[in-house]
Amino acid sequence: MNLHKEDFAGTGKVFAFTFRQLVFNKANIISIVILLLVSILGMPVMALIKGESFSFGDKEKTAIVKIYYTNDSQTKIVPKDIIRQDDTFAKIPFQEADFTLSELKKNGYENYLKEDEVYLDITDTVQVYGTDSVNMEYESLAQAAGEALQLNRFTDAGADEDQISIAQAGYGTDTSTMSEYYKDKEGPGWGIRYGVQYAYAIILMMLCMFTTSYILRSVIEEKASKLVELLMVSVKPLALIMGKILAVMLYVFAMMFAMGIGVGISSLLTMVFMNTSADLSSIISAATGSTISLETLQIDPVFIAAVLVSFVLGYLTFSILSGLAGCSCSSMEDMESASMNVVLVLMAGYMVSVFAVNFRSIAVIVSLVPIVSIFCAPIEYVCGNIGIGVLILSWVIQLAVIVCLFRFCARIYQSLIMYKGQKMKVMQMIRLAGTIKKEQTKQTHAGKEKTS
Amino acid sequence: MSLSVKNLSKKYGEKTALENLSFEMEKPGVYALLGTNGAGKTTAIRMMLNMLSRDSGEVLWNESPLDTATCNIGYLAEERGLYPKYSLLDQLIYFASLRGVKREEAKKRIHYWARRLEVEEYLYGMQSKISHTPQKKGLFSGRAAAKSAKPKKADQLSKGNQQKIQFMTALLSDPELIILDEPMSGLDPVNTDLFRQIIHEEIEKGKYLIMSSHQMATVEEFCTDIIILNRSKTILQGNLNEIKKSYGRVNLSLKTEQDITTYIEASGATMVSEKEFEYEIKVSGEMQANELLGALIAKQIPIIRFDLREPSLHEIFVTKVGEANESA
Repeated sequence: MNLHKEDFAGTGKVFAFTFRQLVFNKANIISIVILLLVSILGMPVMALIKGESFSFGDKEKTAIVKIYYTNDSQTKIVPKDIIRQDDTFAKIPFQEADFTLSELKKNGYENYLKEDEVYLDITDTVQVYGTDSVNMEYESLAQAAGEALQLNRFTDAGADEDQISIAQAGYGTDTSTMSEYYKDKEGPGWGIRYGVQYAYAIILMMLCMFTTSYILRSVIEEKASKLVELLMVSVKPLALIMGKILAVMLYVFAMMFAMGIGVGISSLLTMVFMNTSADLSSIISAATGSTISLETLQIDPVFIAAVLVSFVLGYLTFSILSGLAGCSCSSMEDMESASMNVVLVLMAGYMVSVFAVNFRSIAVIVSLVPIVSIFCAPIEYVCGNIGIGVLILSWVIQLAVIVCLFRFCARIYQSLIMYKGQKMKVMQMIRLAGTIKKEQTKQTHAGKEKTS
Repeated sequence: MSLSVKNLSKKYGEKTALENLSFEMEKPGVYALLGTNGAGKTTAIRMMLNMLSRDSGEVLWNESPLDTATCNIGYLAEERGLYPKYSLLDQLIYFASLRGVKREEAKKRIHYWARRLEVEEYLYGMQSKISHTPQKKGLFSGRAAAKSAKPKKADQLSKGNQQKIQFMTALLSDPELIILDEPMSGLDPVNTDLFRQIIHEEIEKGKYLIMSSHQMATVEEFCTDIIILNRSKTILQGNLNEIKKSYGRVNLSLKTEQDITTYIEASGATMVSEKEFEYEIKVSGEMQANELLGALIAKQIPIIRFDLREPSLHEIFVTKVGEANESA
């Protein structure tokens, strides 16, 4: 099947019509509104349900409700000094205790402190006591009080601000072995690679899964409604299937993008109104369960281009596979099994990519094998495991796969357009495509002979 | 312009779906594809339109392979289909745009055909009618009016109305070649007349029409040439008038005021039916009919009607198919 310009005539019209119908479809509008609402309201609602501010990172609001304190040190400290060190405690009432530490220990905490109340004892040491057995906030309070004590000691000794900052500057230490040195040179560590690979693969997989069902429905619906026979007198099969696939791709991508924006708005809302923060790193960290600092990845235009190109190629590949699966069906009943086939391929690619992240030695192989390379190549490149040359080669291979898939898909679509029966199996489709090619070659030869 | 179909053949495994179908249309008119169920009419049409691959044969339009790029084709498929949940107007504009009709021009044409085929209310809603009708005062009157004013979706239409919309689709691009696969099936007599009228207009405009149908009377009304298919083979082909002439005038309708059975038997003609002195008789030719007429006049039997004619398409079809089946 040699491609000609006229094979693509009408693609734009099919694309525009399909996209328009998807956008203005009532059920789709309702779905998008629900998805947007869920993504926008998700974080604030979770925060409200928990009764505290929600964040992906550390908690910024304390559970302590009251702080009793005694100061038996030689240095004067007021609550403001402690709050200056850690404003987490700004809204908590401080009260000078009318009991001592020895009384507290002797008679039991519960006789002096109610739930979530603490006692801060400042002498030469700073100690915090409360009813909870373990509480990280006690540490924070003790540290803030200790720093306030230290600062006030310097001030009382007559030191100015500069002297105090020099005295408090501190120092760091670092050690390194040879193997660690070479590991650092190789790029980001396993945790970061795993996190980024996981995040990228899961986003691509989700997008493809969404798109698969939309494309399948769109292709099968048209075939089942017998409309396709009417369309075929106006537009070539390649243009018809291509326009349809591209329209669904754009629609689902726009939907996911809107959801992304929704999550952004949600994050902003929680940040502004609930005094929390959720940046990209912490979202990825929360999703993948690993600690990621995006600074380590050096996000620059090349990084963005590498990820985007691979993403688009991957998305296109799976969308065509979905179209192909749709071509093999003649009724909506077959949709589920057709969808399962695509999801299996998708899952295989995804699983290999997550598995392969453990082995740098196979980075080049997984970056070049079609389907798997969609998930692996950009991340292997970003992590420095493959060079730009391998990445471009991976794109070229993927592009060739896409062109072949499109042609195969158009051929199958045309052949099965009038087909009614059970869903075609992959091997049957391959055999069918082979037969069509032979027929076309025979016809072309016959035409040439006739002309000569 | 001319259409040439040469040796179209198709096999599904061992089963032959169509065998060496050939015909030519050198001038505008209607070519009828007739045949029993499963004879291969729809397969032939789909092969002509490249929807089914051909084992052999070619279809030429002005000496070039028939293609959407070389010929403006209007097609009414046997299996009708529309997008069930999309607006009818959007669908029609889309179908027209695929045939290269600009949006504004498409809207004009849709409006014209909607009026002709009496489907305006389904495409545009009932606004115009409602605006002329005084609104009833009541709690739900406004809402009810708004509901009835909505344009319809395809799945809300009756089969006949869906067929009208699809007929519109076939005609929207003002096609040079119109292919109608069973255009009248499922239509009521009023709508059948409407379709017939439009088909006549298209013939007058000088269009090339290919029509497949089971309704012989309808086809006979339009077509100049026919092909009869039986079990994938062509069993009769040619100009309808010439085919009829070749059979001669063998059908005699007689109406008298008394029983003439003995005279019919004496003439050697075969009586097909008789009802209250109305006779349908099969004669061997004009001579036998005239002999019978002479005998009746000689006996001074009053004759109310004497109608000697060629066989109808229906009769030719049944005869040819019967013969083919017997020989098979």
